[in-house]
Amino acid sequence: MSELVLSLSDESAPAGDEMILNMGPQHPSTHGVIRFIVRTDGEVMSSAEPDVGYLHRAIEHIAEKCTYEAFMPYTDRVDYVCAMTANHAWASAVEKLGRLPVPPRAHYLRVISDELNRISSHCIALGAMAMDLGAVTPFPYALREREHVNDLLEELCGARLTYNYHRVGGVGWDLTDAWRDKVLRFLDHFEPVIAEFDRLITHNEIFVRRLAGLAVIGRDEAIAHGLVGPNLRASGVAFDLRADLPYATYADILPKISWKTPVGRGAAGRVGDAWDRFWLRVEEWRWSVRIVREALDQIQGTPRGEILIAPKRFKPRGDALARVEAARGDMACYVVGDGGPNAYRARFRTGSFNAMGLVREKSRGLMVADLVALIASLDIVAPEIDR
Amino acid sequence: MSAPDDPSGQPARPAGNPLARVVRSAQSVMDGLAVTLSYLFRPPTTVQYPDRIDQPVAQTLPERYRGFLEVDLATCTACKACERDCPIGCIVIDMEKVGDVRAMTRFDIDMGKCMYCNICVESCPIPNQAPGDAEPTKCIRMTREFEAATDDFSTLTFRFIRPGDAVIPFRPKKGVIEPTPARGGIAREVRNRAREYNALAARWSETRLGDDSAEAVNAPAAVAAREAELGPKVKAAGQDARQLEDLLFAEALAQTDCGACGYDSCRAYARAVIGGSETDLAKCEPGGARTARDLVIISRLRAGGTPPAARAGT
Amino acid sequence: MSARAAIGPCGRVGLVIVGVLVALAIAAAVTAPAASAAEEPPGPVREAWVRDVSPTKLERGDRLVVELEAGAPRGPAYVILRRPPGPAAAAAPLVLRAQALGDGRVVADIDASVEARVGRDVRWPVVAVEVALIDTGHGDVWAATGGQRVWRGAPGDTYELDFFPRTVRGLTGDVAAALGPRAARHPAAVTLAVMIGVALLILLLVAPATGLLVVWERKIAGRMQSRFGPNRVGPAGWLQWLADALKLIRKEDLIPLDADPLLFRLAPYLAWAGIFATFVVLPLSEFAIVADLNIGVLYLTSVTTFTVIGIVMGGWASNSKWSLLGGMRSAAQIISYELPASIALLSVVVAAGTLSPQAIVRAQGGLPQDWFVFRSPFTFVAFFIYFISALAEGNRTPFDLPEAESELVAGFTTEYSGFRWSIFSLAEWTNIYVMSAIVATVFLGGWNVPFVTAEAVAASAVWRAASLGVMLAKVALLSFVVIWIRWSLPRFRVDQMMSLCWKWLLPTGLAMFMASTAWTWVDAAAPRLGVAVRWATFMLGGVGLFAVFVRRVVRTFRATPLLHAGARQFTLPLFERRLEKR
Repeated sequence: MSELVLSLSDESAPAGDEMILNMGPQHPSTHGVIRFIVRTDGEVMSSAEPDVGYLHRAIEHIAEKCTYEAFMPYTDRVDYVCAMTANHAWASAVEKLGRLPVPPRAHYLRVISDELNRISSHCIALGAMAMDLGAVTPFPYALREREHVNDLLEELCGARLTYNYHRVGGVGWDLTDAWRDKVLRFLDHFEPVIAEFDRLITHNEIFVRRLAGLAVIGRDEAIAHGLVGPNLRASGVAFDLRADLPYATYADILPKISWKTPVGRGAAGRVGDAWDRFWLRVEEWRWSVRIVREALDQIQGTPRGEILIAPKRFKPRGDALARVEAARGDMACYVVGDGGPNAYRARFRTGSFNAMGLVREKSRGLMVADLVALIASLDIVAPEIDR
Repeated sequence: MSAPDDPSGQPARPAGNPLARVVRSAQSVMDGLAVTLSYLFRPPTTVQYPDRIDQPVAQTLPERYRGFLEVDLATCTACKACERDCPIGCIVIDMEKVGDVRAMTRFDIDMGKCMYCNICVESCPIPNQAPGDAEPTKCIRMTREFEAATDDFSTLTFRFIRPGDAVIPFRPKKGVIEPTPARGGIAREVRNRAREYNALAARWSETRLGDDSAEAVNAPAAVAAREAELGPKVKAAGQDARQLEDLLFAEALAQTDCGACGYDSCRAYARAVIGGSETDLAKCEPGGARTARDLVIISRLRAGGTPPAARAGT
Repeated sequence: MSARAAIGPCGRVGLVIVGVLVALAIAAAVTAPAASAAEEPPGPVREAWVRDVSPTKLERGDRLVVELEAGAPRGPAYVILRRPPGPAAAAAPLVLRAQALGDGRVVADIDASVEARVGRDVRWPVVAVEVALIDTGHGDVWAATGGQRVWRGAPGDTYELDFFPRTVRGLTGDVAAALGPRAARHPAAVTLAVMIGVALLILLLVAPATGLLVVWERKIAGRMQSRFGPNRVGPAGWLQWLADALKLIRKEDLIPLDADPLLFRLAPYLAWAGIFATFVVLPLSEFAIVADLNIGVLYLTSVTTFTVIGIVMGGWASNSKWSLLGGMRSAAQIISYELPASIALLSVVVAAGTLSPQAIVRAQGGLPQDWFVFRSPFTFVAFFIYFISALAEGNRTPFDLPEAESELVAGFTTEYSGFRWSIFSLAEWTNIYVMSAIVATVFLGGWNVPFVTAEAVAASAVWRAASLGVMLAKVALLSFVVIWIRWSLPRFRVDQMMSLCWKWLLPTGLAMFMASTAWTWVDAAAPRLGVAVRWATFMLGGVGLFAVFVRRVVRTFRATPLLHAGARQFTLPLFERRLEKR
């Protein structure tokens, strides 16, 4: 009854020399609980089909069972590597649904916490990718920096991974001056660390040669498959929600730091190859640092303590879509209200889910060792795919 | 092996002449080696918890740290806002009439289930001020305690009211911020108590519920008692297949629809047993020996065998 | 298409090298005849010459054979070996009773009396060899040779004879002598016992050393990653290897269902034997060498192929397609990289003129500019070629794809667990010591103590101990470099690794071999040019490269000033607050 069925799109048995190999659901390099059904002759793959759903926790269904405000901690678990942006997506969607006002200081705090979380999420993405390619050392370095960000966010909101920081109508805690100084000191520390990371791994000739020209995703292909975020920008499409569909206070911050959407330039091989996706995330690190500095500067113009306008007896009716630029791309949250205290339907569109759709095509003709590099370069995390 | 196909049609960056590639490789390798070598001269950043640290980690955590919950019952009004607003339902509060007053007899928080989201704290209406805290807190609040690793889930249920105690709800004064002990003491005490007693309590309730082993279940006294219980019910069901199916489902089977017996649902198994197509009465895995025994008793009663007690002539 | 464009970049480099060689050849040819012409002394009109003395390594029971050039005397003779003038006692010549065979050869037995006169493990620089026929009184023996009585070697012919070097055979003789006459009746048993004893000694010394290396690697890896390595088991964690070994020994003995029963069990031991057998010829100090084979380098490259057999056997016997492929890939890697490794070693062998490890070490000096790595730019490049090839042969990052953790399985070791796996692991880590020892011996001067000549080292117990220390220090330093490289670089893909070997290392290695051979001739003909190039290579290659690297390290430090001690530095009120006591 509960047999695991090998569900392949082409039902043919393996041809001749080919064998079918299972990568996952437990595997050190699948970035979560995902399974790939790999058909290979030992060296080159003919296909690697993803089998998702192992991490499905029915989060969207739970949204129907608890109130809008109470659902916030569940959004952390949608993508626990970059939980702040999921918080933000939900809060924005619900605020749009109920046409709720949000104080400007709360918007700045959302931006600061989002960008800090983006830094720590990219720490994991870049470190894990380097480790998958054999360079073990950048991973602990990245984790060490992530620990600093975790410490900062822990001081701000009390948690290190599942923050539950944003609220419907604002954020949960205000920052203190001491915290602001600590963040600035961290940013001063972090900028040269990015340069050191580059010297260690990004421009390492072996690393570059491993990734140059690998799994090139062209512009049109990226758009056709619905790629978002760094994956899309690495393929040459200059689209970033923060600049093109600004939300929160990005419209005030980005011009002040001379924002130019980073796009892949093919510096190692071709535009849209795996190295471009790696390099683009390093660039996003640098941009996040600038954004946080600017936001910490601009937040001083807002009145202290006004961080939350909590709605009372919130029973909205209608639907709303909010999109935020999460670490893995454009996270869209669609919420439908039917006049009750709970949502009628909540839906999260996440970047990793779309990226998974590309793996099977791109894996054709790739070597087995490169499958791991491909998955890592797309920065796929399982919780986002399955929710 | 040739390079993968490139759909974008762009030419690859030229690799450069061989000597340049060698020099570039050597330079990048030297850069990487220099970075790792420099770390040999920097102290490590590991915190060697728990024994090689000079102060407890709890004291180094920030004030807003969201660790275990604790409740200062002295200031709790039993409004149950925290129980209502908890997104995962890990708080249980019982208000009962004890004598002629209404009092809380239970305030349990399952920290194994808790999401550490702080929503219960935000919904609590009673502000407190603890010494040493810069910001005011609430009657239910999160502390900087986090150490309760265990191999028994029952020790994670924090019972703020000892079983058997009753706490009269507090009557708050408007606008007054009540003083409260330093955060963490209550949580530690409750956690220690949970560690000591909860496992014991779980085992105690198990013994009250009874032993499920085959020997205990098939002891003559137990069998006789069960037959006495089931006798009238089987008689009432008579030959009606539907009623018999309901009886089997309600009294004998485990009601999980797990499929371990090979049937899609418990009712399907019951139907097969009643219809006679299934003779193996020990197929229910979750039900175990108890279910097998009950099925045997019911079959025997249906076949017309009188219960031993009745046979005794009473 | 112009000629310039028709020749590719590799071809152009090749033409440059050939041009340089031709220029050097012309220079040497011009200077050489003048040099040798100036040295030739006027000699007697009619002389018979001693042509050759062999072997140069003489053990008990060997026969010294002196070959004569003209005439074929028969009868008893004396072989007289003269040494360069020096302290009076040492200058006495060695006179050996010999027999002239009549076919141009004179043979002398090297027996216990010779040993008593010469001593054990002694090196004789012989500057003159004479063969003198003995008049037995039964007729004028030398009348048949036209009055020739004494044969001499050509002036300037010198030989280096090693008397009673330390070998297993010598050791066997010592043990047999010590055990008395009963042992002498069973030489085979004594030999076997000695060989087993030596093997056990190597095992007992090397296996714990490898364990310590494993812990050291994990500690270095930890410190490079901003953390501690193992630091709980034993003093500061140094007994971690013992805990791991004990744990592995106690694991379940698991053999896959359809695995080949004999080969699966045998494979790890083959791989391990291939590595441990190399310790027999590694010159760990002036005195610590088990067998100073005069084909030592050849032995080293040959015996390590046992490892390849073990790997392929392990992969095949596991009866898993994945293990087989991993094993084949690993074997292909090792076999491919044997070629540039051997060629690079040969570049030094031609410069030293010998395959014997001790002789190669003695051909170098204690100070860096006397090492073979700086002998010429060609051996400098050969050093890097050998080092990279040795990393590949040892399956070390950046060449560890066959056993990468991010691969789908662990290569040929997939089905191995417990003690068998630990044997593979032991072989791999011991290989680090072996490759470091070979590099230190061949390129970095071996056990030569700085500022002390090899003869002085041989003469004094203090310097002998120092030579052991020097060699161990060099091995430790090179092991550190191997470990350091592993934790700093990503790994190559299989096809990149193969193309690196065949398209880059092998052609360059061949070019360096040819150039080094030619350079040997130039160096001998024009010694001052040789010394100048030596110093130039040392300053530019050694000192220069080192300075460039140190500059990078300093720059790294300066770039991240805030990366100082302590965790939670950004959240504690006092940034310098430290959480752990040291």
